[in-house]
Amino acid sequence: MPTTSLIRAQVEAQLSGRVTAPFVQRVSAEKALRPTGIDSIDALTGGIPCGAITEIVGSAWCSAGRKSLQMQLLAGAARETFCALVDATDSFDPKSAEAAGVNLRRLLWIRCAGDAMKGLEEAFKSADLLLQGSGGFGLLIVDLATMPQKYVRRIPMSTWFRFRAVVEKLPTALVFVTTYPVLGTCSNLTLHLTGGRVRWSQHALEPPAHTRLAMAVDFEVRIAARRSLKKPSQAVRVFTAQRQWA
Amino acid sequence: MGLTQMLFVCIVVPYFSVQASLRCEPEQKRIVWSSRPVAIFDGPESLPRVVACNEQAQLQGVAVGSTKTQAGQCTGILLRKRDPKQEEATQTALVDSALAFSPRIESTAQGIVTLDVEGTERIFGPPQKLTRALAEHTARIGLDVSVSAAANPDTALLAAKGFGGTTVIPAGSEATFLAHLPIDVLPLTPAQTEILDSWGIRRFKDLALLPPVPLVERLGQSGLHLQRLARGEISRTLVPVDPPLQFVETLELEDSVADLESLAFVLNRLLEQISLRLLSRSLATDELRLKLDLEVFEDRELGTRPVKRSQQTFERTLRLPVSIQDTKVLLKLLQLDLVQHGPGGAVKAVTLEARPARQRHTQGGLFAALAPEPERLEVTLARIRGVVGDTDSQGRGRVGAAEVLNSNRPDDFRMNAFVAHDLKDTPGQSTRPSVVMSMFRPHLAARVRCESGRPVHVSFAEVNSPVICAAGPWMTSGNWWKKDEEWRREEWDVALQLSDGVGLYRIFRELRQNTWFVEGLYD
Repeated sequence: MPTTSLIRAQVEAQLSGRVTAPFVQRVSAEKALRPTGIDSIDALTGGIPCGAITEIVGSAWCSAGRKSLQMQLLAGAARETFCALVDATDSFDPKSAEAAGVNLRRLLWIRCAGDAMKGLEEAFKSADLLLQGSGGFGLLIVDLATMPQKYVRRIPMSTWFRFRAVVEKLPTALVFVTTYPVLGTCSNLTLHLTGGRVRWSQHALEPPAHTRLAMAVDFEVRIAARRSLKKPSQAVRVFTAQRQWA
Repeated sequence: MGLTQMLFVCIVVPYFSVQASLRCEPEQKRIVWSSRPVAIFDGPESLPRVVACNEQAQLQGVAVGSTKTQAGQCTGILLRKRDPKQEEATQTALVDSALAFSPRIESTAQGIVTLDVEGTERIFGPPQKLTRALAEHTARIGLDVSVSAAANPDTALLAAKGFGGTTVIPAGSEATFLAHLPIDVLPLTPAQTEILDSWGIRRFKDLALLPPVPLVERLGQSGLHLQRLARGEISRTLVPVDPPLQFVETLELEDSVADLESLAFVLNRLLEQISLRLLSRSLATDELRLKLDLEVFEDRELGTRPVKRSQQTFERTLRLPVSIQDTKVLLKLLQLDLVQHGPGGAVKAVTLEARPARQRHTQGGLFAALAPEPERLEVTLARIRGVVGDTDSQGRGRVGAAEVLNSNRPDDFRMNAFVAHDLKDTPGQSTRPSVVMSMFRPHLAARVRCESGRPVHVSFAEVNSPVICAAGPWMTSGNWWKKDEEWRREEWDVALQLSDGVGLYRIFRELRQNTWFVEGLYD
């Protein structure tokens, strides 16, 4: 009866020249992190990983904070590098972004047709071209936030694997913004954003309405999945996004 | 050899019209055709005549003045129509090539350029090396030239005309070098040719040895001038030209081209020529203008031949945010543009013009920010434009960098070309998270129920919810002085209770039509 060590030696001999150290588990190098600019998230994660995919998930019709988080990411990244935003539904608001501190001259904005499946196709083709064609972007965000779920569900898993394989070789942090988690194991970090709580300048039902202002929105963020040596933290953190005048 | 006195170099393009006609052809084709008899014809369509031909054609009996039909009887002859634009472009290209070696150049005649190269020895080396470099440089623009260096421009010109390849004539040895050249290299009138022929003067040395006084008595002062030319004794001042910065290349096609792939070959050749000329002047381009002459036929009816309707022109302008000199990149950008905006007909002639721009110089650095390579990025963006389109319904670009306009009109911005230049760091004004709007483009039509002028229930798309809190109204208006662009709105911020959370929306009523829309979601 062959022992384990004998079998191991035989396998290694068979694979010699083709596979080096077949029984050694490869430990992927720790990815460089790009801070999100939101203290409560950075305290938990350190930021989003470069050379990997991050998924930001939030409900489609609710104020979940996906755009606010995107803008914080873009504002921080555009100070050091060039960024790209592939906008599948043409929902980016440059005025809000500028007010949030994003340097628009360093942001390449690709506005897809926004027509459901066609918009989705255009977004993926554009992201693919950007990653494989030119490179050199520090942050690439693919915004599918307002894309109906039925279309996002149709994206084959192989697409996400391909993106993961491509971005692994680049110093780019690739972020997908979706309405529900679709990337599975392809994402290095999944941030789940949930319903916001609006803070008004006056009590909700007191008239007159024109003197009332929405001052800030509190968002909840949860780390849903994380591919790293550390165990994923299930802690829920809150961050507050304020209006310009607040 | 008196190298220090060597001042002038002359470039001569033998069979200029023939070479100009073949210059923009692909290199392989040009080499094959150069070894064949080639004749250039011009004149009325009823009786075109040969205006120029190469040595092979001359050997087969073709001469200037022969009719096209006579020339066509020659075996394997290639007959091309004369294109003055092409000849002009060739002359400009020759001048541009010369400018890479000296700033003082004279466009002596068609196919002849003279350079003052005094003081360039330290840059280009001795005259032998310089003449070889000039010949190689002009070969790159598709011209086979003779180059000669001498102490005076006329001797350099006669040597370039008389000797093939490269020649260097040391100062003081002009007469010896020119002695064996045939007399017809000199600029003789038919009468002078006849007289000299009757005297038995065949070579330069024969003319140089004639006594000057009897020569003047018989041929006048022009005879003496010719003798001094033959002796290499005439010295004149160069008339330098300052050629305009125009980079235009034209090619008229023998057969019209219908597919883009074939057109790409033509464009590549023209771009190569333009790039070389730009390189000679240490320039790049930031705008390409393409003009295609199209041949359009009327619909073909059964049993009849297609009727040529007329020539139409198709023009495209390609503006580049960065100056580019790379032919491959420029070709790719043109190809991608033509795929998106096809000419819609068979192409008969191509004109390509490049606007000159200063070359881009980038200082690399260890700590420089990560940035995309501009040339590759331009190609990538052109590809992306092919996917998402050029502009939206309002004429705003779909790919680029947004710029918020100084206006009160909601969602007013324009798209500029995205340039990956290293910008000065502009630290963000806000570091705290701020509420950002997710826009609906176009705005979503909504049904809003109001009570006491205040929205209490909103329904649109998949949302149908009572309003839990509303702020407003805020009345905005603008462009009242333009009938079509006027807008008047009543805006509200409403919080809606949804199944999985709260949605804070910006809704507005378009007062002119009294209809409600959802502008965006605060997200």
